[in-house]
Amino acid sequence: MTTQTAEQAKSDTEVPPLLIADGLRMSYGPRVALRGLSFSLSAGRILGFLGPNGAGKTTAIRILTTMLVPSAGQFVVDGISSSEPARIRQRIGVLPENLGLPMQMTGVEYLTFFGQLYGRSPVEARARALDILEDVGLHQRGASRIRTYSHGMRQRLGIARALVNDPVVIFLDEPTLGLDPRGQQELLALIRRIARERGAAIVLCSHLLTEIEGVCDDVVILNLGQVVAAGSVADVLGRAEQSVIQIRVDPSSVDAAIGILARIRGVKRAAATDLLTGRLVVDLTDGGELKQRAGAAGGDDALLRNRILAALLKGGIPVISFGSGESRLQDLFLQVTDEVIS
Amino acid sequence: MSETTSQLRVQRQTRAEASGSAAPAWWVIFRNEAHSLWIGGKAPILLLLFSIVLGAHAFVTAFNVELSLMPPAEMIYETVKTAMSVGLFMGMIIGADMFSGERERGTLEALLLTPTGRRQIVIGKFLAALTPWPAALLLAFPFMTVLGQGHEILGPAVLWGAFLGTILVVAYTGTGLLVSFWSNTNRTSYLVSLGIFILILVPSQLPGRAQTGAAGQFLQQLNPLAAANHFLSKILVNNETVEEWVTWLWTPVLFAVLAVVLLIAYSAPGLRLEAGRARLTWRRPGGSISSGGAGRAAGLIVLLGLFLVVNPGSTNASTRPVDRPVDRSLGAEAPVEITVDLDYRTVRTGDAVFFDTVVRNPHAAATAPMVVAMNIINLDQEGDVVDPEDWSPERTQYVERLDPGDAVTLSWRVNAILDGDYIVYMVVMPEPAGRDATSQAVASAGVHLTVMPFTRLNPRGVVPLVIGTPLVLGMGTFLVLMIRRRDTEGGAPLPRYLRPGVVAIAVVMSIGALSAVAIGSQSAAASNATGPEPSAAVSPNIQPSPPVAVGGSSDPGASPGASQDPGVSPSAPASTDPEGSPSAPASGAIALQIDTGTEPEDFAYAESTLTASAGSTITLTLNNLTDMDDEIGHNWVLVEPGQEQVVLASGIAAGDNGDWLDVHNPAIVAFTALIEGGDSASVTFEAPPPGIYPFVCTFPEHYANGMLGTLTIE
Repeated sequence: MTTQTAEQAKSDTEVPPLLIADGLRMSYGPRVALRGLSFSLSAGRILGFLGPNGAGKTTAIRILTTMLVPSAGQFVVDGISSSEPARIRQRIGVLPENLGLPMQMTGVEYLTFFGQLYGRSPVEARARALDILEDVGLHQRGASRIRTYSHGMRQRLGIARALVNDPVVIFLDEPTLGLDPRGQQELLALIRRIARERGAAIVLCSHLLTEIEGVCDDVVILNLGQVVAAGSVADVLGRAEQSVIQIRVDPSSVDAAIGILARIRGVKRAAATDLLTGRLVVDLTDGGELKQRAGAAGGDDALLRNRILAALLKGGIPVISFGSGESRLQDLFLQVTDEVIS
Repeated sequence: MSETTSQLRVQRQTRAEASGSAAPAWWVIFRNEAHSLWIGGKAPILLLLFSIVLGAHAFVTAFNVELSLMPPAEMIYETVKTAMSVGLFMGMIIGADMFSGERERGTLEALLLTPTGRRQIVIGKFLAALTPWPAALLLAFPFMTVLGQGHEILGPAVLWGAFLGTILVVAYTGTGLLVSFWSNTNRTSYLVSLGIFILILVPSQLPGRAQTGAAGQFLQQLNPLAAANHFLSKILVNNETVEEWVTWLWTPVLFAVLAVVLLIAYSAPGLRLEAGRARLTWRRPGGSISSGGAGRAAGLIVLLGLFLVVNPGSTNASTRPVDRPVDRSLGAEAPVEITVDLDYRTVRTGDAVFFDTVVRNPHAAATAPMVVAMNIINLDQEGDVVDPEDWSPERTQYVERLDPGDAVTLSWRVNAILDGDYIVYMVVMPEPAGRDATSQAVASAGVHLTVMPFTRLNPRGVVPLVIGTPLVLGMGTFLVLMIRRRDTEGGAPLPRYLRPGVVAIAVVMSIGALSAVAIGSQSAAASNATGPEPSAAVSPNIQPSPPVAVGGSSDPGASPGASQDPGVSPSAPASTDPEGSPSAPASGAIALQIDTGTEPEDFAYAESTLTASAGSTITLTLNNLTDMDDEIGHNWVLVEPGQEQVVLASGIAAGDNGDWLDVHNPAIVAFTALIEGGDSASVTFEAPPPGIYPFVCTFPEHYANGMLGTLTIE
């Protein structure tokens, strides 16, 4: 699957990839945190990094940002091999999961400090700090101490810090965490602009699937340290679209519904996701397999859905809703990470 | 933010040009760390605590009656010691936060994500952690000045304190940083650092007995803090030479070097996001890096090994063996004579006594080479042991063989360390002729030393400092934080004279002013207590008086005419006392008389001990009984204890035109004019506080020849 991912990325854009990961593995003693991560990312594209807690997202990000040394595998950033971490650091910008801002400094002081660490003179670093603050919409509060910033402002300052060195690859770990919906939308718009206008490649880690779906071009889904899905969002979703059905029934008949669903041919698995509200998720056998078996095109899935609904109605189950859920990516996510959920 | 925000500025290519004028990374880190340490309030608050501890120490020292018997040199030493200990603690606490604190606050990752070299980060942080120490030293200086009461040791004490303190602060701060380097949380880091701090502190807190003896000495020398303190006490309090104790500097220096090397050379390149988990340094192709645990173990072994290498050598060196080639060409049995030029002396703790011995060969044969050793015996009933090493910088002197009739003069110095009753004597030991021979010791007469406790300190002088320093510091800190707050909260920009730097300078100046006030009040109180200013007492009281006992009584002690001497001043100088303080209930007037010798070479007062009661008004009459034609001038100058040399030196400086006396010297309690043979002079003054005051004749060479004595105020 991994080589396929890389090929896909290449075919999607004509630009050579800025970030290539090849077989990254990480183990802490006997515990394996990452079992072979490979992907590539081109300039101007945003890659969504998905996975439940403990899937290895943070480990992967820390390896790619040179904070951890992988047990095996390597990666290349802007043509620089992972054996030269200091040169890679020169070219990446990172918003770590733990923002870690010094409360007693002002925004301008903070960014000026980092600018100097990237080799700018104090005057240049300060001018650059003011520019970036304006970019992220913090210019009016630049002289205030970080202590007085709201959560959203701190996230923006974190992104500003990631931009201080004009990076070619930017890693954002949960950038919208804890923001209100409006703050989330503003921040995602900012991220899109950064990718578009700077031509930087962005790796966006999130567990908010709608967020990834709306912003990202590519997606990698990790589970238990393994890549379970990867490719462009469109490709991955295309695969997921017809393979999951979300059903809501009366909570009292959840067990009966599962019993009926399990007997239908073409249903791989049926499980309750929320017993209180009576939500169920139904995995269908892979569309491709079905097609092959039926020897027919297109309408098989639709027929299967009809059969399922008919069976439920016949079994006297009060169906409240029947469809593919709010987020298509969420369906996929639930499907490929079921081991953790069940 | 709206999409209408101006276009993002893409400045990817500016990096290369920008790097030209950039500051080195360690400097950027240092500035940032120092800024957050000082403006963030941590360093000022630690310094505030430092000043409170120092103030409490000074207050207790000054007001506790028992402790106030401490001589000034010891007071200075104790202050240096306290300042050092607290300074070390500060350095360690600051160091212990440097990495683990950033890990805890999540700020380390952002720092590590920059291309800045790991060693640069460590160096910057290390230097920043050292910045509070100079400020602490500056704060300690006024305390040392006030408690030291102008003792000559103050200068060396400040220099040695700064030197040793810096070495130890480097060591402790480095250790704190190292611990922090390997800790994920501040809790661990502080706990381990504190453990190390206490571990090092423990041996120096052992009871006195446990600190002596071979094992105790070894332990003390092994312990960097104890070794440094020991060195300081020997140099500052016991007036011993640096060469003698320089081996004790080994452990502190080694400790500092090890901490710095371990931190910067060994550990720094492996600075990681998380301590003690997966290895975060990049494996160099073809090379392997030893794992953290093994590396640490190796470091410890190196450290232990170095201690072992250094210490046996230094303990041997400190025993100072007297091992010199012996010339034994002549008879070994020749006895010698040894005489001492001082019989007895009353001094105070902290004073030094100087005297000479003459070793003479009265016989017809040359002597063998000799060792002359000084011994000190405590005359009290308990038979407490005196350690002559503490009392004298040079205990033994070596004399080459003496030809018939030859003599050699040896000079000695004895520092009065503890109060009590002592005999100092010298023993001449000719070297035996060989392994199967021995020789006879010859002892000198004893020098009887009565060492009085030191009671001059006036605790009032400490109070403004003890209260003022933390107050000024606290206000300064508060002001800086307030300014910072206003500055960054979008308020009106503050005028330049209110920048934090300016406030810091104001704080330093205020503390300087405070110490000046403290020192001023100290000396004012001292002069209040010791009577009117000498200059005020002079003119009305010195009157030529008719010769009372010219060529007369051979018994100079009983000159009955003195009390009726018309020269006794009618003007009681009590009115000149500016404060009219404790002298008011005078228990009456006391007339004292003192005669000089009658012969020109009689450089002695006829009475070397005088007594008067406290609170009385003393009128002293000096009679110069020498022949007028011999032109021998004498005066009588009562000085503060221990200040003879100071007054004598300033007298020499005043010269012949100034009658060999600097009347403005504050150490003078009272004095008469310099009078020629056959003249008399008198002075009236209020009795100073109880104690033993030396008096001297300040005419050149007279004191050195024995023209001195003491006035005891009871």
